[in-house]
Amino acid sequence: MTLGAAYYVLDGDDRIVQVNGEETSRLAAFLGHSLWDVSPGAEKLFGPYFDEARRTGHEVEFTSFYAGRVARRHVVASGGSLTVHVTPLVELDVRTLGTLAGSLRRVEAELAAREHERPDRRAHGSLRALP
Amino acid sequence: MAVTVEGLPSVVLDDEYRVVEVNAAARAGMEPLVGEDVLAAFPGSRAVFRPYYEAARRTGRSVEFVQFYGGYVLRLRATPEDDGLRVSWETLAMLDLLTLEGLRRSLDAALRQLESAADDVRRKDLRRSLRVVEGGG
Repeated sequence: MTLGAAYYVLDGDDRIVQVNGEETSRLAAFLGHSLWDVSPGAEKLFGPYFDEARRTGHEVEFTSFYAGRVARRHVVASGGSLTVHVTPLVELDVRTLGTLAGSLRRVEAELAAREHERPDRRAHGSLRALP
Repeated sequence: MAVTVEGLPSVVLDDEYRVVEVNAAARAGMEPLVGEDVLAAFPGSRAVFRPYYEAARRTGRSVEFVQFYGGYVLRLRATPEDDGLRVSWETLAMLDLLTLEGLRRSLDAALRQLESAADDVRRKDLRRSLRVVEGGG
């Protein structure tokens, strides 16, 4: 498995303490802040995986849609802190209806291909309800 | 005389689609584009906007249309004026890209706006046809 070059580190209270790489650069402005405060809606999506990594001490990998893109996140626990490696997979292209439709299909295919990774499918939903 | 609804953002485009005027409501997003070809500045926009702009120029009449671009459903009006083509717009819906749930909900709302606009066009076409059938011209 290859980890993405971009990662961020959270302390035991989910505060951002380190950021590295272009894909996570947005978070650099929020060092010391809770990840959940600066990423609305993310706790419901990422929180269960982060809890699992902390609880088991095992590395956890998951793929989810957030902020317009599908990305793979690889979570490594060390004590209470977490290092989250982020690898972008598919980005929505909202320029026109044509580009949106094409990128929605790619998003759906990517999520469907990784369906087996999800311990609680109810928490993620699907794009299949979309027209 | 062309009338621009006060409060709506608008720009005036010259014959080569360069921005020559930006009103106060559009200043924040569009002022940096003064002198630029607006269709080149927004990738993929030429195919979705230009036919309407050309129709307004060709007919000399205001053209109103609803279009999806950049994650927004916009109602636009292109109005020929002495110094160019004035284009004003309002946002009818925007996509929420944060989560799948938000995307699903906002996409549904955006598609409803587009379908409603398409229905309006069909209704107007039907009314025009009826006027012809009824001899109303």
